[in-house]
Amino acid sequence: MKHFRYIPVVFACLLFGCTAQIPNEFTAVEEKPSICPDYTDLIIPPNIAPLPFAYQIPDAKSAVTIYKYGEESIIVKGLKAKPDIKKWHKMLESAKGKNINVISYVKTDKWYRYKEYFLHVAEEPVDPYISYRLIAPSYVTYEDLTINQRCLENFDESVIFCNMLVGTENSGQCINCHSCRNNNPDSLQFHARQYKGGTVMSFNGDIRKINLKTDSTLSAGVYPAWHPTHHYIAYSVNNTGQSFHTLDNEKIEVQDIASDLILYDIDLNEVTTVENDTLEWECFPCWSPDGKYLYFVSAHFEVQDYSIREREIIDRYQEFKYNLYRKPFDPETKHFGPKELVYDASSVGKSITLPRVSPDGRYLLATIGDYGVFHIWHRSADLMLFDLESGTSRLLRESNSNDTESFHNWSTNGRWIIFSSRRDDGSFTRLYLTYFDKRGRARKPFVIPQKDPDFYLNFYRSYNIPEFMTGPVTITPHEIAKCLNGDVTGAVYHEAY
Amino acid sequence: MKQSFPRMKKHTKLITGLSFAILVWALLILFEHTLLFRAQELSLWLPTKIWFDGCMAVPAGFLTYIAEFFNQLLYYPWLGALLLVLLWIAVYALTLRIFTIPSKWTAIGLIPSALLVACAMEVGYWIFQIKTPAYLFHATLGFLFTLLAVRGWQLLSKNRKQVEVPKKGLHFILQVVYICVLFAFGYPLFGFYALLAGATILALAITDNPKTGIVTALACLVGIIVTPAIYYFSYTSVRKPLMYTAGMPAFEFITKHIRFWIPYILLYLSPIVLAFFFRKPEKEQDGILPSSTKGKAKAKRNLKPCIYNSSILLILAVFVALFWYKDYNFHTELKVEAAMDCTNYKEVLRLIKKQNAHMAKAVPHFIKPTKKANDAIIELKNDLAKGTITQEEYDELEKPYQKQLDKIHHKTEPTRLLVLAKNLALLKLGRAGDEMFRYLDGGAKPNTPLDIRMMQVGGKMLYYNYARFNFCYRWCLEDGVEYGWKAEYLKYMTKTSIMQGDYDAAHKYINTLSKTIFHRKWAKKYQALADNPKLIPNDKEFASILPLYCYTDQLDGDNSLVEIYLLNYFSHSFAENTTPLFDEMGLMCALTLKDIPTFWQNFFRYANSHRTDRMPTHYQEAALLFGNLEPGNVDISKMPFDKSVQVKFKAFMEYARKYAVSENIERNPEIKKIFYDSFGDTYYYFYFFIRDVKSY
Repeated sequence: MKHFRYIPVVFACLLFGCTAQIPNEFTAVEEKPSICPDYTDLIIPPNIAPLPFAYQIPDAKSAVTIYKYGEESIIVKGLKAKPDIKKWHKMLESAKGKNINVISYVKTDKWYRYKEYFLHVAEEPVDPYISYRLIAPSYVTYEDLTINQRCLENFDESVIFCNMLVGTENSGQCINCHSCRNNNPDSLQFHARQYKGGTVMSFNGDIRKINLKTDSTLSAGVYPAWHPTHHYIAYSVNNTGQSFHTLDNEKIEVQDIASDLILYDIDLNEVTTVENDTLEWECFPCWSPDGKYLYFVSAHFEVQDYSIREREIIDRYQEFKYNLYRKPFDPETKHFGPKELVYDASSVGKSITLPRVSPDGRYLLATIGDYGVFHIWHRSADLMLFDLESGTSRLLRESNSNDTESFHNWSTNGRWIIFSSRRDDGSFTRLYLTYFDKRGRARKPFVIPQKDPDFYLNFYRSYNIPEFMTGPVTITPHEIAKCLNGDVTGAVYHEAY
Repeated sequence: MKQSFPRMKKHTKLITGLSFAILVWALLILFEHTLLFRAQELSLWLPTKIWFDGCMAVPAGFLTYIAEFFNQLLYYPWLGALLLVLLWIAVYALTLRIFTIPSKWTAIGLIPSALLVACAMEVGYWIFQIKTPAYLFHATLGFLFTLLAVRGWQLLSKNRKQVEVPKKGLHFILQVVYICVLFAFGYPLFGFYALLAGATILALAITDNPKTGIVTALACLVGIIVTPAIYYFSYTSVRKPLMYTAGMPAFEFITKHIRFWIPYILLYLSPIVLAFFFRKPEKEQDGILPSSTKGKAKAKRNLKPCIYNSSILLILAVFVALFWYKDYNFHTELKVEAAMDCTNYKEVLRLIKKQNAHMAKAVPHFIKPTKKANDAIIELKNDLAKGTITQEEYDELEKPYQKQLDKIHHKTEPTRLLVLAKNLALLKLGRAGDEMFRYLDGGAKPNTPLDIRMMQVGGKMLYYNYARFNFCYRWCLEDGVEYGWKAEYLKYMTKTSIMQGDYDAAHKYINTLSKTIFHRKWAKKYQALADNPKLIPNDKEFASILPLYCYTDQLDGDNSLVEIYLLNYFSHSFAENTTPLFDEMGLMCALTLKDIPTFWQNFFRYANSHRTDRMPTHYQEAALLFGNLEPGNVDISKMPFDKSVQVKFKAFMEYARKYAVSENIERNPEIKKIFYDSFGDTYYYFYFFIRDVKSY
């Protein structure tokens, strides 16, 4: 019984051991700590999950991190700083529109206090969910592909659909190009290709599998753009090929052998052609927020020898320069006007892709590279911003890096941009979030936080096609599998209106 | 005396188990050393949460996780083999324990272990394609779990017999709870093997006491049917039918692959069959003989178990031997790749010479069947040419003969990978021009029903050594995605990234490898090179490859045919800044292609970059041959051919006239043998007799 007297002592020791102690003696260092991911001096959404990081300081033995806003503070002990999620959200709520200061004490031979940095909490929240495809960055083969959703307010991630639920060992299924209408998760579409393929469309509580390929179009729908006000989806239709660099670090060139634009009317299950000029390679449709303009990119290319058409397209891959166009559209009559050149990228030796108009209709964000259409494999690819009001454009230097920036999207309120980048290691695509202010300036981007700061170092998949969502997709993977295993409805072709 | 017999029985079990262990361990170490090491290179285990979560995303994920953990011990093949053998012994011990097999049938206890040996060692080329991670350990650990789970139930069941009647109800409930726990927790962790445990318990419960066991059996039956169906909704990446087979080897269930399934089917049936045959009351099973047994009767009884056991052991040995993959080319390929990895090119050539000698010995035995099959094919070709049969009929009729020839080639010819590895080693040693046709050539298909590609076996090694870094990297990535990440792929991706100057990517792979237990040292070495690229030219391995790294970028594709791609690439590349080694490779490829204009282009390029060197024998032979075959193209009259080359060429031509060398001559094994004996070390022989070689 006498041993029981030690219990309070043991308890006290445990408590003492678990509580982070701020060092009393330290040497001040006039530089910010090196941390991974780099979460220093950011503007962050007021509803974002904690931003765990790891100190990258040689011979570091211990660390204490203090998040401080006014009288409130969160003290975290350890070389991996992982703030408690409840305290974090409480602090973010209080600090809206203000700065949280982060103070770092790191012990190597002795304790050092590093220069503090800030996390500015924006007033405007980010959409609580994002969806993306997870794919190993392979070229031809694939195994399990998933379209996932992630709650940005915490670390919850779940599968919207996985191709392995339908595909078999010998009959694989590729899934891609998911898209929600106006960031609403209840209207979702994505493509399943090859085995039991079709476009899965979850709309108005109904889930269907549709074959968008008709005898009059090149292929089934590829890159989608939901019309913001009417029940239409514009698609590019593409015949895509891949070839491999023998030396270049970009390793692969993905090219369209041909491409056009179509419009799909969901209610009538009807496909019409929007653009199908054989000398033009049209791609990546995108609606203006009022639905009155269809933006897209197109490259003009004239084949010289049709007997070796494909080989020629491959050999002259650097000559594919995509320009930015738009076509006026009347949603009531489904009539398109003539195309208008918005940005002549080819005249400056560049190629522009992936236009996305901001929800207020003022800005257009695109990706610009030296050539070609599939910029995720081009290290020259950067984000470029167009002010549609003033007609000016500029590279979004605040967010670009020396490596690839590619797919991007606007948050529902237009204050946040999510984009994919290969800046970390040149091979694996990660998602970055950046604040975009009312004056049209972006801020330092930061990688989507993960529970474990080392997550991205150990993760061997790429994030594709990030899309914001106002909530989670509620339809289950097994319901989607059931739909894919069921019958397909063939779309009907109709001449252009 | 009364006590000595049971003790002897005990020893019989021990001796049987130990003999089995020592024998199998010795066989593994002696004959499968390289396979064991490669199995480890073709696997990966990481102590990270992501890795664990990745494994657990499918049923039987924990089985995969621990199998991968054990599999890495094969880095030291003796250690990994020891562990495997110990696990098989554990299976043997548990089998004896669960099924209370009488002593005279002790060897029966070895059946599951022997089947596991067969399951593991039938792997062959599957090692490159199988989507069951850590294949060698997977089934063993799964089956061990099955037996442990059954034993756990038995212990509960045993206690029930000893308790008072009122408490029997509690024990009964405990048993049912045990079965529920087995399915609820065992299934996600061990998949099919939990279901197998349920099936075994079902069999034991019925055979033990059909009346009382019926509820247990029903619980098991319901569990087997319902558990995967329920769990289907908690996994997002497995189709419903596959939920029932999760954890089983990922062979396709098709006729072509049925052979691979045989040991597994027998393995899975074994506990159920044993349950029906060896579930007698324990007193009877003890096999204690009556004390009055004396004299001849006793001797007879002593002899009988020996005969029974020996017979069973013999059958098991034959079975294991039948399924143990022993293909000579496959094993040589593994050894050659290991030697290549250590840049030990002389060892590569030694291994190939050994393989050549082995094959050459077999050639005379197959002359007659080869001739028969070839004659039949020639006849069919003639019929096709005459139009008496259609192409489809030809294809169908030719099949059995081609199959027969393929079988012969497995024993008499090297695979293309071995030929390419030999050429690579000779090129690195600067001996290709004098020796590349002194080795056995040919194109045996890999001896497997699998659709295996050279790319999956040694293609990455070839691309890497031929400085086709993007292609090596690409296939590592493609195969990594399809078959799972493996240490081997990450190593090549690291090395190619360093060579390409892509140091960020290299650091990522190095970071992963540095987390492993056995590849840390390797990672550290390459970390130094990635951190300080100036050291690259000083590295022996990199230095040997750099001279081939002298080409310009272009868009290309190999259609996963390594050899065809390399041959065409090197023989048709005429960049300005090529090195002498690159030029030599071009000429070697042109010789293999047998395309005369391509040969001359490469010949002059080679001659230009090797002005001060002696022209190697094979290049002279080719020039002499092509100069004579197509005299109008290049005037060879002033070329200073070695006298020995000219003499041999004349002799060859005389032989050719004598034996009327004509079309399809390569299909006459008798004449081929005559020519091989006299000219097997010349390009002439290669040109006329090595034909219709298909790469893969």
